[in-house]
Amino acid sequence: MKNIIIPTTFENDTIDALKVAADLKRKGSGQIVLISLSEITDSITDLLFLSEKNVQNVGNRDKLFADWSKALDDFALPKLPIIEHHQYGISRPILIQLLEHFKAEMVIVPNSFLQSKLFIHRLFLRLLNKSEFPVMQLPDDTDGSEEIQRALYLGENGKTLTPALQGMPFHIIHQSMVDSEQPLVSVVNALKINLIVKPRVNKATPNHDVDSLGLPVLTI
Amino acid sequence: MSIRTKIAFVFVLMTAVFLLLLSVFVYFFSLRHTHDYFFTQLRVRAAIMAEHQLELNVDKSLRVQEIRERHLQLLPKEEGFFFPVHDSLFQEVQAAHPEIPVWFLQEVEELDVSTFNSGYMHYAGILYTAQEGEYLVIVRAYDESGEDHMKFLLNMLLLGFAISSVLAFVLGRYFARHIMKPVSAIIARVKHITISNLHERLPKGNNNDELDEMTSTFNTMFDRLETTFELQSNFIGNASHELRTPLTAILGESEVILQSPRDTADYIASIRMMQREAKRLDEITTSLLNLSQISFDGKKQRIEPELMDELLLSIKIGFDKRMPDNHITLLIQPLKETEEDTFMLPCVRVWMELALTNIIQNSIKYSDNKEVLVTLEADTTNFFIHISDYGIGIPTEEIRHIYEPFFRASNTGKYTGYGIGLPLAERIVRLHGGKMNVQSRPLAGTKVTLTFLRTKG
Repeated sequence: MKNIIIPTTFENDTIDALKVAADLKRKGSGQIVLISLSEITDSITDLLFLSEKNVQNVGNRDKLFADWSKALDDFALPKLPIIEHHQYGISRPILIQLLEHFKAEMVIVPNSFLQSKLFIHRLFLRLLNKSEFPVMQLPDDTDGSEEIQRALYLGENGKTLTPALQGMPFHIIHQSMVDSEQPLVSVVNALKINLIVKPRVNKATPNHDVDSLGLPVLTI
Repeated sequence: MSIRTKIAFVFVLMTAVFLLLLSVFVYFFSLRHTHDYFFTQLRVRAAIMAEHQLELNVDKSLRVQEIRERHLQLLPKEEGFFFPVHDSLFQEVQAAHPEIPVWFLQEVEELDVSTFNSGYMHYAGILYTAQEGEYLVIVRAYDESGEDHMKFLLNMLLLGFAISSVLAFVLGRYFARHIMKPVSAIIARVKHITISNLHERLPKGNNNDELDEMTSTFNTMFDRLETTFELQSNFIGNASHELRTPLTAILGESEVILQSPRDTADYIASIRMMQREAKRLDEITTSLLNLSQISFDGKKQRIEPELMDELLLSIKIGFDKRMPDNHITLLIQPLKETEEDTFMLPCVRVWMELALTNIIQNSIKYSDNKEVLVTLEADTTNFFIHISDYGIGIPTEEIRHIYEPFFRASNTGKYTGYGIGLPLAERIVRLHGGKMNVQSRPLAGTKVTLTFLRTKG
């Protein structure tokens, strides 16, 4: 039983992430873990935790859960248990331990979290991208009505997909199967791709301007 | 004999063997100790007796006798013999006391002292050097108290052995019953489960021991039994329904047409209709036959290695001929030259073709001829055939029934079908050592994954 982690700012687009997560978990069991983060200063006093900037946006949170229970009915999604976790401060070991503790299978990052300017959120993302866990980054403009049906795997020719990916509910097309002469955009349009899967590489991958496609990107 | 009694007997046997060995050990060493103790006494007496009898100094001899009479009781049947040592000593002793063995005399001669016993009659011999020469002194006595002790010990050991054995049997039975109690409970429970309450299960223990394993084995067996049972009853119900529908139509039609004389056109229409229904009946029975053949005669067909990419291509060509407006997209992972037989699978080609055609046809049918994507790819150990569509999907709660013959999902009302294709395909895939996995979203689409082991070559 593996779980899906969603780091959140309790913005509305967390719903999209929840939808993707619930959709992925349609067949298996598992939990969704919502992680919210706040910074912690170097000196520790009790008063620190009372300071205003760390107070959760409770209103947004309540609205989020109300919206979610509505969405569950609207889209006939499985009702997965949701765990909330608030994390003060983050570091590489803490992140790894956190993900291991929650038996993370995948981390889905909503766009609001991606765009967040808060240092702690940026740090979390940077650490996450260096970790070995699969990370799915959601684009800005998902209308949320479309489930992920087909994925395009952008990898080197000889590299094969892991069994875990083969078992995903979406159909993954290996890049080597399609005509490599065509530009990426036309391939994506022709095959109605709605997810890009790419392996984690150290050097920046040239000529794939993946971000401009406006699709979720799963890094594995 | 019940296991309970067997366990009790094993327990008794084990205890008895141990007790017996212990008793023998105790008895044997006690006996030796008793003898040794008495021999020591005898040797002392022999020395004193010799000093008393052979001492020429009268004063000393009297004193020794006095001490002896004051401090040493006469042992039962105590007697002493004195023989001056000379060449024919052995013969002389043997003549006087034939019960004394020669080895004893030799030992005395060699070691100056020796002992032996016959039963509880003990003999001790020493060489005594008196003023006028060497003497062989032999003292014998009967160890009455030793005999008494040993008899008592023997009785006690026998009694203890008997009591312990009985006790071990009683305790063994008790423990055996205690151990076997859960087994008896399981047996009683299993006996209780019949066709009418096949859904009941054995209560799960939480000791994680062999009994729990047995319970869970029983439970999985019941699961399988229940599934098979349900399947069978569903199958019979569905099959009879499917077969009866066309039959009813034919019978009804014929009755109506025979009621009164009609013109030729009516007859033709009626017979056409009957023919249609009869064809449907034929289709159902043919597919039923296929299903049962694949279920039972799995070994009769010839299995030959086939290239799956080639097979998929020929299926695609077949579809293009039969329904030119299909939207099947077939994508195959390009292979390196050294790995040309990656997609090789030993299979019955006709069956495999049937299975794949069935799955792809389902995809086309339930998506109203939307695009169907078929991909074939491999990793190091397996190769995968994915077939996905944008069809009506399968309701989540019904997905576990899809391999039951004649099962049709609740949202398939407007599509024709008999619910045989998918179970047939699954059975074929399973017969070829593959796995079939169906993932579906209602109203969005279905993805079928077939996983086969790569042939090592």
